[in-house]
Amino acid sequence: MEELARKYRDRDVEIFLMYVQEPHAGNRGYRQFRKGGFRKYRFHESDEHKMEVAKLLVKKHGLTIPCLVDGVDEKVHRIIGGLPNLVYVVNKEGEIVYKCSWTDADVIDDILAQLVTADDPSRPVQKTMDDRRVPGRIPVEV
Amino acid sequence: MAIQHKQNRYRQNRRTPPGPLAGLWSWQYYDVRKMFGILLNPTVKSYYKMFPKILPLGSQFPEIELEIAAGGKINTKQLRWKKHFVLLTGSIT
Repeated sequence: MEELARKYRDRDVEIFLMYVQEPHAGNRGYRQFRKGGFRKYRFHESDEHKMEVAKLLVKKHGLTIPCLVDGVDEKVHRIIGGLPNLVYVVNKEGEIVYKCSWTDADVIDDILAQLVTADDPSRPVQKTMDDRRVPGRIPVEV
Repeated sequence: MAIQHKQNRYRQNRRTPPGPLAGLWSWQYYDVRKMFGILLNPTVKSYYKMFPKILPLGSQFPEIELEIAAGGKINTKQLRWKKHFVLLTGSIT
C-alpha cells in the first residue's frame, strides 16, 4: 500500500489505513502467542489506549500513509462492515467503485489505474504490481 | 463510475486468508478447536454474510470523521470532488 500511495500520490489519490480492534489480541490466548509475539497486544481499554497502539503500528511498520483511528466502540468500523481487512475504493464523486472483504494490493492497483486513466486519458497509468494471488484458493459462494 | 471487477464477487465472498492451501497455512488452523471456533462463529459469519449488502457498489460512501494517529482529523467530505481515496482496515495482529 505504501508503494501504491507513492505511485498515485500525484494523481489525486489518497490511501488511508484505519486502525481497528486487534482480531487476534493476546487476551484470546491463541497458541502461537502464548510464548510472546503478539501477546502484549491486548483488547483496547480506552480511546487513548487504542491511539497509543495505533502510533505503535505506524512506528513499527514505518507507515507514511495516514493511519486513522476509530473510537474504542468501533462505531465507524461497524458502519463500513466491521471486518478486519476490508477495503473500499471511493471515487471523486464519493461513490464506492470497489469493495472487498480482503485487501489485495494488486487488485487495488488495477482499480486505481483504471480510475486515474479515466480522469486523464492523456496520462494513462498501467497496473505495475504483480498478481499476488496464490493458486489453490477456494472461492466461497454465498 | 462503478467498476465491476471480474473477480469482485469471488473476492467479496472469500473468507480464507491468502496463501497456499486455501489459507490453511495460517497459524489459526494449527489449533483445531480455534479453527472450528472461528469458522462456525455466528458473529463472524454474520459479518461476512452482511458485508456484500452494506454500502453496495455505486452507493455514496458515508461521511465519516476520524482522528489521525499523527495528529489532526480527516473527514471524507473534504475529499469529495478533489481526490479518489482508498480506505482499508488493519491492525497489528
